[in-house]
Amino acid sequence: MIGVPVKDRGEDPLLEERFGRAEIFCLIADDGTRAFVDNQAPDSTSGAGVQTVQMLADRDVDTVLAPEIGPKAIAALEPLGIRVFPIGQARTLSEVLALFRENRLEERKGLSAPGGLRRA
Amino acid sequence: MAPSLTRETPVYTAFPVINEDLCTHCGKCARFCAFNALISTKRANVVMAELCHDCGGCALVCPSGAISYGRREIGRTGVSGVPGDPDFGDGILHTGEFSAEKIIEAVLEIPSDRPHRIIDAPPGCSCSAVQAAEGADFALIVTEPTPFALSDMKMVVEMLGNLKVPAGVFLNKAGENEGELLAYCESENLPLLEKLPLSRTYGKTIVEGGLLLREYPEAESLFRHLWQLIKGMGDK
Repeated sequence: MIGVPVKDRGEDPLLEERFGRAEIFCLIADDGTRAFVDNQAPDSTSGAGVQTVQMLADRDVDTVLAPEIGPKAIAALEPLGIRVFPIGQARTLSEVLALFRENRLEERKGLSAPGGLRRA
Repeated sequence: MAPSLTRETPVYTAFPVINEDLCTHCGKCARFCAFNALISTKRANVVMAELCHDCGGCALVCPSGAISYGRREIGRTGVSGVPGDPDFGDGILHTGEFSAEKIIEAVLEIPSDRPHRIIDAPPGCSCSAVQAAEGADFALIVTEPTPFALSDMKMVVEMLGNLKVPAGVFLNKAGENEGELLAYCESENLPLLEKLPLSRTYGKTIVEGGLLLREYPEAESLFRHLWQLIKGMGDK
């Protein structure tokens, strides 16, 4: 299952720049079936990214395509084995899925490198 | 004041440690945690130690007794002066940590037999400001005559009201545009205890690390008067 933060529930939604504070995620199953889910995390005062990771993991997401992901969410994604791909030049859902299927997105590796937040 | 500190007492906070042999991955801990410090999935658990507020709730809701707690150092407290009778105490939060409440708690618990203790609280009404002000006999609100400062001050007054800490006001950088602030103080029955005028030379002294009361006789008498007023109000 692929998870992508999006701005709307249209045919070809624009990609959302944020991860933890994204209000909608589009989940794409291996057979291409799409489903939209509400992300409850934007209302939390802290740890929105982590809560979003929990939500995606609960829905068996193993791949995330997203432009920006905060350090805490990144730290949470790696031990769960969820792969992260920045979106390249894509602006819409269909563009990013096309790039992903053509193997033209570069996986974000070395997620555990310490960022602004000291790791647990 | 430039106190010479010995800073050696560590301050710890806790974080959950999950025993994977006992964990059934039911997810109750993660759903309970208000700060998203735990992720629990069928595949794996992740503990975000930095997000834990040490409430102990996850161990309580865990049906299989799989959660215990580890501890980690988040900062240190320091004192200057005679051991057992310090004249100054402070705390530092290690870089990257964002919850100062336990440090403030530890600083407030530094033993002292002195009759009065002055607590320099963080500005505003964050959790750490509440922690510093709670239980005080009296609070001095240091403000200045700007709309921005007044807006913040109204929240501080509300916080002190909830904490039942009596308060007075010290007006810094006084001289202009005081009307709205004075009217507010009057409407809230907040006594204005002292004013320090806006002055470039005062500002320069402070930026250079000097103490106004050592360098300006008028400032010394002002602060002495202020302290007499505070003692009178705090001892009431």
